[in-house]
Amino acid sequence: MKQPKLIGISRRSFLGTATAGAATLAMPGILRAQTELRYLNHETDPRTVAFLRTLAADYEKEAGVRVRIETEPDPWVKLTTSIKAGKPYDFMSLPSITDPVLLAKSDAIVPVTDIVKEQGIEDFGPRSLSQFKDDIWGYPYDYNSVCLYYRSDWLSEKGLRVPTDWDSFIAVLQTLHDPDNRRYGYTQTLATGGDSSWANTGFLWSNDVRFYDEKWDVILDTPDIKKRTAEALAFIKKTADFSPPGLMSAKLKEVIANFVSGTAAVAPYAGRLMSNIQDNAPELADKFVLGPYVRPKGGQGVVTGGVDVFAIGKTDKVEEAKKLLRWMIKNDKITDFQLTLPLHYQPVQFSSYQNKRWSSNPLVEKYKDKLAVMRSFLDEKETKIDGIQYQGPNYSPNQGRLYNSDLISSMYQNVVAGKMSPEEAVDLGAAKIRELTDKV
Amino acid sequence: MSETVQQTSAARAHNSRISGLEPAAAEAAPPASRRASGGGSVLHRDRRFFILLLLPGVVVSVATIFLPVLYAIGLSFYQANSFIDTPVFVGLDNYVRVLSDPGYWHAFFNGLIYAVATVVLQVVVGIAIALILHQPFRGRTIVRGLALTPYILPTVVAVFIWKWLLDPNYGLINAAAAFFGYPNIDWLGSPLLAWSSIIFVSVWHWTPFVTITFLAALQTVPEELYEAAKLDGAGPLQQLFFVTLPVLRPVLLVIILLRTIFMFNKFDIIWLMTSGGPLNATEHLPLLAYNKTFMEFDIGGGTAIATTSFIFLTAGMYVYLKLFPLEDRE
Repeated sequence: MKQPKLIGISRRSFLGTATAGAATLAMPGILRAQTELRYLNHETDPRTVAFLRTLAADYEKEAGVRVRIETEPDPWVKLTTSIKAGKPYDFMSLPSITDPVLLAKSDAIVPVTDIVKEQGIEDFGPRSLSQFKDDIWGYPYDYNSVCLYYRSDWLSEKGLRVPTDWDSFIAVLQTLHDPDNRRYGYTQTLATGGDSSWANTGFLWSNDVRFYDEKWDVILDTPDIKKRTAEALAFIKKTADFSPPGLMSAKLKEVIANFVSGTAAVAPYAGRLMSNIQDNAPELADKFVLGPYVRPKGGQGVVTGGVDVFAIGKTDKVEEAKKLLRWMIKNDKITDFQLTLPLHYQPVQFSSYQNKRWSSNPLVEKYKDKLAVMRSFLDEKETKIDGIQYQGPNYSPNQGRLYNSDLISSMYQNVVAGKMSPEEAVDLGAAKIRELTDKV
Repeated sequence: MSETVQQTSAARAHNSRISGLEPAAAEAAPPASRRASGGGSVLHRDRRFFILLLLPGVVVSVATIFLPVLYAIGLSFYQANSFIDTPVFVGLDNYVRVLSDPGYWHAFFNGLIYAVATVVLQVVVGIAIALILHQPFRGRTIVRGLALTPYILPTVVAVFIWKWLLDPNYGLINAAAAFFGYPNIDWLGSPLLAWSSIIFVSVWHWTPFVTITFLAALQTVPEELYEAAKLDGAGPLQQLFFVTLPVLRPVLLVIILLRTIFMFNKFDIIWLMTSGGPLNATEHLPLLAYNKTFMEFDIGGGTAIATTSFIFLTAGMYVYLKLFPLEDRE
């Protein structure tokens, strides 16, 4: 039967064209209907960023959920303003163990207690979980423990051993310090800002310096702690005599440059320095050793922690974001993530060190002696993990304020520049802590 | 005496021209009131057209400048740990707190010294370079282009170039100094050297702005003024001080005003070079406001500092424009 024509077009053609048109018009809506997770990432190394893109593509293929990744090295401002603007992130990585607690207090993230418990709380290393109100708010993936790097070949040349206390530490610096040949004993950060708060506080903790008591009262200038802090500051002043020029403005990148270029014999840093040695001076691979900060009279070592975590935003996609984290754990994607920079990311879970995929990685094998030392930092009998974020009775904005402020750098700079005695610098520090502490 | 009067009136007449107030043109144009009485609808139409042209700019300014400024001023009356914290109204407490902090006044005077030093140097060096580039010589166009290079570079690039050049261990400047037997200098290691380095880099980066603005203005100075001055026996310096600078006074005033506002609020160069160190010696108000707001989670304190800085700058601009009006007072 012949089809009647509508304005010269057959009914079939008309219906076909109309359907195609409607589908085209509806396409944005259909695309919008696909679930999309917004992931704020703070790890900026191109290898990690490339991996995350692959991870997003794999997850979309498997779960039909799109993951949009945005990378921002210092995510705090972007994170809080996005929440304020009504566009919070569903998934995020955070550079501090205190960040999730601050977000939890503002009801901006959800706990991941269930996911951590599925793995077993005992599988996580000491002081790695962001606990607040009986819940855990971040899934840790990198310890970032700051320890000490020593040039083992230079130690051997002079018949020295890795120091075990403050006196032997100074003796090592003194022996290896040769400024006429542009070789210096100890490179460290003293610049204003967070670099000094994280990567140059080990000697404070090694002398058991505390900032607060259990009621948030400042105890830095109480007789015992003041004495300990002043001793640590005087010791740092001594180490400064063996530092390369530019100490007052030295940040982490100067520490990396000085150690990797063979300008300094000893340097404090976390796994990133090892990663940098592999990238830029692989010939040093067997010419350095690691060790924790040493105590004044020896004993249990100390490292400064700087745990990085994943967290889930309190959005209307909480369950989808949790599914993504579970999928990453189940499919060993967190190991893959860590293996993008195996020397940089220091696994937090004990099981990671048993993971074949991790331990058989060529770089992990190449540096296995050093990584075994890092693994030993998780043993509380051998090493204490400390840091500004562990000061006080619980996690709060106070630690974040102290960490970001010039508290540490101003105490160090005043003592090293000879503007203040260590005791005066302690008083200055205590006043600063009081100014920045909110007990509420 | 009569020479000076002549020069001044010539310069003033020129000023009127470059300000768009040419006397002859002003006389020829019918006053607004006459036009209005001759045709109210024309005036009405003109006003509507004027508002229409102005509207997009006003809307954008309100949305991107005035509202955020008002919001920030509002925040300065609250205590909050972050933008997502529940703010608590504290009235003027934040202002009392920051203004009674000696660190605030230390930062204020640091900023003032930085702004004055960099603006004076930029203006003096910028004008000197502009005068040189105004002279005819072979390759002048290329040299003019090259003189702009520091200004074209993004600030972060300019700062990192200089940070590497000034690096005490690996920098080219210390390497050259060592070659001639000079000791290693930590250019950012002491308050005086850190300030000197910051001021040097700021002047290096921003002087081309003064140069290019002044050079453009120089093109507008009529040649006959110089010829008359030469006939009267004026040398190059007299020509500069009695012809060029008086004629270009409005341009110069605007340059100084703009540069002072920019430099007083300049954040990036100091942040990238020293972050306020060593010993807080290079901390100024923008840096202090940033540190309070984003580093010490003190949103109220930080915005109170920013607000007072805004008030001081506005008051400074008002006094400046009263003392040095952009148009001549007859």
